[in-house]
Amino acid sequence: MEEQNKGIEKMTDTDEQLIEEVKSGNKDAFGAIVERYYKNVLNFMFHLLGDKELAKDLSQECFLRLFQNIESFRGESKLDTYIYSIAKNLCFQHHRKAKVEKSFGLDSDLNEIKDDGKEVLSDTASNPLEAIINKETLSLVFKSIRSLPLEQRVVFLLSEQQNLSYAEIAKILKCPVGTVASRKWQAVKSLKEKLKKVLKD
Amino acid sequence: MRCDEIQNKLTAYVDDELDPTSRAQVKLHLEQCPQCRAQLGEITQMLSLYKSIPEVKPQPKDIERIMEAIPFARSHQKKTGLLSKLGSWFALQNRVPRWASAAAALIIFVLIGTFVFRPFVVKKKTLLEKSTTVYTYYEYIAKEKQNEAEPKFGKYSFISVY
Repeated sequence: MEEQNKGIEKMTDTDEQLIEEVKSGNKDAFGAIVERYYKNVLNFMFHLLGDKELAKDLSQECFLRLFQNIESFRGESKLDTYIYSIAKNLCFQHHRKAKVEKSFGLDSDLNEIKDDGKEVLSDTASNPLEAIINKETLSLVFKSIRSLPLEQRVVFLLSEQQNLSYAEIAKILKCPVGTVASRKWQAVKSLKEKLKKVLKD
Repeated sequence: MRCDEIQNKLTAYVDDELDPTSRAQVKLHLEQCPQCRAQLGEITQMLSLYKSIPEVKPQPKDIERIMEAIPFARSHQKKTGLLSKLGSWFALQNRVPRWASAAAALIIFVLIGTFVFRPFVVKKKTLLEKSTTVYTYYEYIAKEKQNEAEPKFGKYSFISVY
């Protein structure tokens, strides 16, 4: 009961307070950071890579790296921006590795969609509003996002899924804001083309 | 502004990322142009379709798994005693660049090789000798001193045997 209260108490702390507490050796504070951001990181990774298990593994790696680098985190950027930078780097690293493996003819999941989102969609069948929307359609949307070039996909997800501003995304990707705007437009244009039939219905 | 210029700005317009002047221009154009309005409608429809994809719900065991993997206790233990101090000293070594460590290791290796292990001298087989002979370095020096007057045949090579 006391433990639970401690957890709830930590959840109300700001990111800056939690980071300071982690630096001084408070494990509960790091637990609160994980609780706060895990769902977002997991969903970002899942939509980016299309593989739920891989997304879980890389999310775990993401928080491990956050912990390893927390001493050097000076608060120049927001914590969520910092976490998404780590997550993005891990995904790019995975993508490069998969590309090399593919070029050597080894097993690679570069273009393979292991999850088409149907499993996630079936989880919510009890919700009548979501049940109305055709699962096949949502699965098609999911697949269309996976078919975008990685750079466009990252921008699209950070903007639409994580609701970050173009300036924040530019900081994460270390590129000009104009590049973010253009990638977002390219992504939206491609998705609109791919989903033309569905959108007309 | 032309329709294609407006359409390039539609996502930024939806995301509220345009400066006030561009925003006003796009808004004015949309009021007058049915094609661009249709484009805007398609974009918002597509985006709301994406937003209707349900989120993956994390399992409590996923968070437990992360917390178990965090080496928290080890890195925040109070450092007392000789072992901990040694640990801190080794931790300091992480700040030394790798090339410096590699250079230091090489120098130590060469010094050990020179002073600890004795080199052997192989006198190669020549036309005048029947077989190859192997001397230790000191035997070779002593022999050379004895045979200073004798003519030398063949070449000498040095090898270190560890």
